[in-house]
Amino acid sequence: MTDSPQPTHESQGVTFEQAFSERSDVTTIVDVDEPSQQVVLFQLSGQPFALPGHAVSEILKGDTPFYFVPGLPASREGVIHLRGNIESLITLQRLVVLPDTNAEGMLLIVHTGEIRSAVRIDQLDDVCELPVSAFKTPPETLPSTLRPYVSALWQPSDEQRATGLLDPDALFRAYPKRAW
Amino acid sequence: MSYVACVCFQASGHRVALEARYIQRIDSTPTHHRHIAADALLLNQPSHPTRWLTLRDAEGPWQLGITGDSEMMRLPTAAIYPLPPLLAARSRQPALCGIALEGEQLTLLLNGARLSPPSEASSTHHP
Repeated sequence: MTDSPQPTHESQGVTFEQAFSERSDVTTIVDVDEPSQQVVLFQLSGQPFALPGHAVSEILKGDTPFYFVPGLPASREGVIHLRGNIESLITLQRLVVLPDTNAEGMLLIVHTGEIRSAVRIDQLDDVCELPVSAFKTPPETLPSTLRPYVSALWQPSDEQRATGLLDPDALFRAYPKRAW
Repeated sequence: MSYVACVCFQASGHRVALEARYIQRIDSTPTHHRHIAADALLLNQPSHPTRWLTLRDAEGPWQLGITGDSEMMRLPTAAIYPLPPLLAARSRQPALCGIALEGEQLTLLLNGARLSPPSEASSTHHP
């Protein structure tokens, strides 16, 4: 069988490994673990908002007993007793100029560097990880009442409303200064 | 167990406590020109005080009128908390410095050193 044709390189049998190696440009493992951020998604007066997960240490039921403290601005503000500590309980609607809802909702324990407080939300939507690249810079058209507190926007699809990522430091800095 | 000696009273339905060391005496009628009802001072509510606690500020003695009896009591320090900063910053009453929680009962704590009648108040209770 010496006259049988020698297989050319093109028709040479190869192994899967060899075939894969010829396509090394597409088989290279790409690191898809892009930076992500945990967020707590919730609603205030029907509008979607988020807080960074690192700023929310606990989520409590909305019917957690709270104590009214007189002499404060007329909104639902007081204190809650949480495992031996007293935390302020505030609502954000008036700060971001949204209508009061009086929904029992849920309470988020939000903390920044030095300040910690319970914040009443109307509805908890989700706690999830979102890629950092999904957050966009707030546009100039964002209402001026929200601009100081919204650090980024996340819009899952064109059909859905954009969620404002709130800056807890900005909220807590502004809260004592606002008169209402 | 440590405690703070306080004088407790009611003001517009809230239980309020002042450190006893700030109260010089208790009378049934106002005896000083400078006096104001606690309900009016703390909550802008009208009232008819029946007891008058004498305190002292930079201008001298003045009286805080309370409705009903006052009570000497020892508040355990374990039940006493400073007012959370977000609320302290927004309180209209600078003397409100903390709260005490004993069971379900909340007591508002007033700093006697920061409590004063309004400068124009000479007789602001409703006789």
